[in-house]
Amino acid sequence: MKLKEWIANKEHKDNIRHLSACNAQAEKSEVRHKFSGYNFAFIDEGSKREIRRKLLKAIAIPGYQVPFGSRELPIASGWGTGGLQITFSIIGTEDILKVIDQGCDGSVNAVNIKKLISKVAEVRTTIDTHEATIIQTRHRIPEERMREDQILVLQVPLPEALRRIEPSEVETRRMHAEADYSLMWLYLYEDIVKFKEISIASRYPVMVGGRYIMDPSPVPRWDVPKLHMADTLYLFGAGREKRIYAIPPYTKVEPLEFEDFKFRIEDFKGESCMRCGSKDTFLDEIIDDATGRRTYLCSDTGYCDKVLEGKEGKYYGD
Amino acid sequence: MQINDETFITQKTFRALLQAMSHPGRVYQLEQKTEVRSQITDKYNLFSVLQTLLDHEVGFCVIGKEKEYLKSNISELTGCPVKDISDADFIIVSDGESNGEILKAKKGSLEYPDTGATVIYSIRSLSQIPPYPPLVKGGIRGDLKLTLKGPGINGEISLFLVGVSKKEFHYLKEINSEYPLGIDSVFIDSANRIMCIPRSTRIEVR
Repeated sequence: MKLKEWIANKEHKDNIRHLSACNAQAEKSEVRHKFSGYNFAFIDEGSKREIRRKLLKAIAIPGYQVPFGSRELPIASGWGTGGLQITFSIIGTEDILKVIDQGCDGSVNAVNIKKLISKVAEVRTTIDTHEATIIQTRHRIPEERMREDQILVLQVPLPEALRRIEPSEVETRRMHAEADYSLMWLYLYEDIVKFKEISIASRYPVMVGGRYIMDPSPVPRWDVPKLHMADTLYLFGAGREKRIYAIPPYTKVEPLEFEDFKFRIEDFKGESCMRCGSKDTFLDEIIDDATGRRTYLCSDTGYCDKVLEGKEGKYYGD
Repeated sequence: MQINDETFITQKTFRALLQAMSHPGRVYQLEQKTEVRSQITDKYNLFSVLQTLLDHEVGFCVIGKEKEYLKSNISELTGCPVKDISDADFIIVSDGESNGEILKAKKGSLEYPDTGATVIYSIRSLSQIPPYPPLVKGGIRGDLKLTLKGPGINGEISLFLVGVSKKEFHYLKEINSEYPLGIDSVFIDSANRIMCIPRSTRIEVR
């Protein structure tokens, strides 16, 4: 068949597109497709195409914030819509999804986002980091090292790392364009003079590929080294601020530090998780209001479960 | 699951593109078992990628053989307007040879480097393993060995191309010499394989 004929045929195909999508789904899941009134993976194909183009540019220029036309979603912007739009644009029916919020699979934000994605894209979900192909996350990177074939999508509230020192977008864009980061270094220096410490707890600024200063989203310092020369692709989406950026695998990501004042991660002073006993994970501190006693729990609940099950002999995976 | 729908074809194609762009120099296979493939055979690979990325919001231009045929079909299929090379977001090089035309492509601005163009090359063959018989010095069979370094590459990676000239990579190096300004390239071969070289990659030709 000639291409012209195929194009003529395309119109007819468009009409049966919805039906065939339903059939393909029904074949796989043996359940008739429930969606009507919206596209596969919720957002329309035109919007997906735009986000996809921007994602490729974001990967080609690691750490640079690509503007994109953030779409309306059934959740309010500022609640993970950037991450959600990226996930919708990349997800297919064969993916296995994990969603975490502050490391937890069971928090309200994570559960609702997971429900929404699995409903509109009909994907399987999991809480096992190893099993997932796409992980959408807020404020944490999983403890287990992620593989090459996995993608981590981070929800970003404030994509501009320079915003704490410069309120104007025009000005921060100029600073990125000229790699003029002296104000940022000055900020860190003043912090050390005032507090004898760089006081940035989360959103610790990093230098990507030796060119762009980037906001790694509000992950704790603990997670920052995981960005450096990782096996995994990291995609960052800020829905409210309309920015997408990325760190491809095997990319240099260095936390900002001085030669004589090095970056350091959180120190838990030998404390361990009261549930699974791990000493090598990022811990949440829980203070008992009545007694003032401090206890600690793994922030990554999926990993905590795995360690616990391993100890109890229930878990046989790797 | 049988893929018989544009939504699913473009999703699969995009995932291959996403992997290829984040692992420069690695050759990925595009989905082949599709209804569309049997209908437009030879240029299907190119069209599945164009369908995934092009629409009325961007502009494209074509360099090389079958220029008019491709132009009219691509704009009809995707709704994407034809633009001058210095204004196009996507540049399609239909036979792996731009003769330096790509030097006129948009490189983006320092404030917005993402406005640089994407070049899509249709070439004969892409491979991670050396072609047989082995490469003759000077590349008599038109085979090229590329060695790439940079973000997305663990150390360095080598690959072999057929159907694209050595000169082309000198042009790419030239236009990408002022990082972050530059263009990103996608190579598609006749067996539905793709490989990407974003502007952040350092290219060595042998």
